[in-house]
Amino acid sequence: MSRFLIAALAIFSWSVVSDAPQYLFDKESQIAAGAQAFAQTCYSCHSMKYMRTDAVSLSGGIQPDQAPQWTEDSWNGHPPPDLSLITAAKGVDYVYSYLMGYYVDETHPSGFENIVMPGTQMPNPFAAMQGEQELVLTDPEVRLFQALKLKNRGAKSPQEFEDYVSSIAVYLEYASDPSQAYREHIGYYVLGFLAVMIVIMIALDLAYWKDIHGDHQ
Amino acid sequence: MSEIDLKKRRLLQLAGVWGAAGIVGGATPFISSLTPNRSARLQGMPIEVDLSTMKVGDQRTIMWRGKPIWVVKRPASVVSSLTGLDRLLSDPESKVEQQPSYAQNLHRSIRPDYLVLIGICTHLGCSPTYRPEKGSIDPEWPGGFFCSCHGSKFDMAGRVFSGVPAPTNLEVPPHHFLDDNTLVVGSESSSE
Amino acid sequence: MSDWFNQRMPVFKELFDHLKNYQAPKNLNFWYFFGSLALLMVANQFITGIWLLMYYTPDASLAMSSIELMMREVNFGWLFRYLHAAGASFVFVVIYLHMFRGLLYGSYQSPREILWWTGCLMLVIFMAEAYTGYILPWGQMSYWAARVIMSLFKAIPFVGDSLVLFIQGDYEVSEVTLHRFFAFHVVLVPLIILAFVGLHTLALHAVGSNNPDGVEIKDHVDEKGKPLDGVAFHPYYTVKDVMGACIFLFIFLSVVFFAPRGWGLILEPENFEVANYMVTPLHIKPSWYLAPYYAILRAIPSKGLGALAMLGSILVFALLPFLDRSPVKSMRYKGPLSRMALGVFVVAFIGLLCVGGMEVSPLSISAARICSVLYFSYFLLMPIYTHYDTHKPAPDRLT
Ligand code: HEM
Ligand code: FES
Repeated sequence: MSRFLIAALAIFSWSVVSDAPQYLFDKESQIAAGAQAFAQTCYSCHSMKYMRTDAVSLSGGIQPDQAPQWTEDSWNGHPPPDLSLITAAKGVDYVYSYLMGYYVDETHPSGFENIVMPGTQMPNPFAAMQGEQELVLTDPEVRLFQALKLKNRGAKSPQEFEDYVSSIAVYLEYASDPSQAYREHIGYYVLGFLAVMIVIMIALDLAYWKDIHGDHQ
Repeated sequence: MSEIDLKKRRLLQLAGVWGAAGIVGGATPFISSLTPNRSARLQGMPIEVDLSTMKVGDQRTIMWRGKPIWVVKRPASVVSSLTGLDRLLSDPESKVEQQPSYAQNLHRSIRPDYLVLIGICTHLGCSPTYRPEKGSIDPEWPGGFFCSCHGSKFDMAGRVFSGVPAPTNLEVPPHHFLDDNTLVVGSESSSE
Repeated sequence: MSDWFNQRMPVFKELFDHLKNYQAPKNLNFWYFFGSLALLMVANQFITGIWLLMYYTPDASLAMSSIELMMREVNFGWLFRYLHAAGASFVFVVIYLHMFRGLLYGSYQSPREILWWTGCLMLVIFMAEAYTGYILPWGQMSYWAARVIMSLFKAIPFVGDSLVLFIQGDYEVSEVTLHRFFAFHVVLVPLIILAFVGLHTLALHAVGSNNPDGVEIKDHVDEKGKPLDGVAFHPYYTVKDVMGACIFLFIFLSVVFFAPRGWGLILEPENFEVANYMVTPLHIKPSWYLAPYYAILRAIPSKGLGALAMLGSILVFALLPFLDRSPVKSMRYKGPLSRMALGVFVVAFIGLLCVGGMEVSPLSISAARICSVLYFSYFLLMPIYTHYDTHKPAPDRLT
């Protein structure tokens, strides 16, 4: 039965079992916290090579000289990938749900299975922090938090853990395009400027074409 | 001038001014991108040099902002012989500003033993070689730096000899010592 | 000062005199913006391209990281990348609308056949430019799309296989291909584009613009030979075109600054992973602007015929001057059959565009087939329906 469920989930995983991370009002500090959390929990295996000079990443402890390096054939040929662009490739909701999606499964060699990416090579990095989740679902048309129940608590409360994973997801989203905040900031000025230019040009156009339309009548 | 022409002219001026501002604004990113990028800027930050392995008489070359920086640990005898060269040099007292004020002294350095120089000839930018042996360039050679490109000579404090193409003494970069064995090149004090 | 210069080097003077004397119909509407907007976008691609070129490295192991590091470490590096990538999509938006204007007002008809053909060739050249550019980031989509298109050439009888080896320079799309596509994208094709923009403009200035009424302004001239319904291009249309450019830039820059990935249409998610020769992405799709032709390719269950139909769907535009038998040019005066046909064509084109980006399923294949048939009917049945169609008499002068 659970085999079948997992197969069903694998098909629906992308569209159905996807939740969004919580964005804090103060996104900047959430990103900074995420950089720290990333350095603590993920950086031992995953590099962040495009963020080598990024101030937030560096002060969070993601130092280029400590970047993990793997050979092609380590981890059965699937070494942990670089994560600088992971949310651009997979979507931030996918990454968030994936991180929230580990549950106990004794048949899996590591003791944990993932609801978003069944058979994942990545061992559950949060077992001690989150506690253990179990699969309680009978209906695949359901959201992530309804499919998994916390069996026993870990070092962090569910809310703390949720914040922790959210911050990592938000940091990764930032890393996939650090220009966003600045880009949107100057974008308003650019469009405002153009709006004025459009008004001027329409007025100029009308002024010039007045003679033509005039003699047409 | 009729009213309509006046209106046209006003609008045309307005469009010209606003459009010119737009062109300047649009060109700004393109020009600003040409300055050294963030990774170059980070590499241009001050660097620390560990001196604990340097023996008396050693010379080391490190890179800072794409330039060779020489660190020489001079024996006391060399430092004391710097006084006798005045008549051979073109700027023995380092009057030309080729060094921070704290290196405008006889030995052109903070500590008499450590000489820190930018290893670029002040003539046309070749990198001179370190030739400490007396008499190795010509019979009167007191030891120093020799630029083989056009034959400029510098003494053991980077001061230029007279009668050579290089116009000024070798440049001393901003530097300071964190502790006895740690040199920082690129900044003047630890607070920076 | 300007006299001193003009006497010795009259380029600017000649240009201005030409634009002041050049007569354009006085009733051109917004559809006529898209030609100058195409020029604007070509300029955008050239300038941002030069800036990208200062940082991009055409090497399989460095291509993507040179771009990503530029976006993060060079001042405004992200801006050049987004302007160029979104710009590529907008070039096609503009070209397609520009071509639609031609269909709407019969701009391909005599005496503008050569003008139309230079345009048709430019469409193909721009596809080549987009295709060679798309490979450069060396992401998964770059790589696999390149392979798919390359295997299309294999469908050419007899020479296909050797031609493909010749173009890609290796047994599969590889580093070698990347290097030469880089050379094509930044030097060869842009030079051809410049030449064709010149030819296109030359041809236009020889025959003059058509207009929404589809009647020639040159047929009614005053005693000095100036068309009665013409206005000087400068200042009337320079002002109008600048106005159009500002409105267009507003839309273009909204996308660049607020949605530079274009919801996955400008920069596809799959292309943020570095090319992997071993793993095909689950769903290979072409860029949206090539999707219609790709849909036609997939609609036909034979590789050779599919490739032929795809090629035909692009080249068939060039036949329009021969296919249209209507005595009037503009849709304003054509009859219901022609109007319906154009409407159906637009629907078919958009349908193919959507279907070409979808995964293959029985439904999408049937939709692609229906749309392909409609697409080609617009062209191939045109001699018949324009012949039997009624029409209103075109006016003598512009309305
Ligand atoms: C990037 C590529 C292109 C550029 C830069 C370009 C530029 C221009 C310009 C500046 C004009 C005059 C303004 C206007 O009538 O809108 C024009 C007119 C025209 N173009 Fe293009 N064009 C391009 C592509 C094409 C294509 C692909 C076609 C057709 C397949 C085409 C067909 C025409 C025709 C028929 C006219 C005259 C239209 C009329 O007078 O009604 N052009 N083009
Ligand atoms: S560069 Fe050193 S002597 Fe000319």
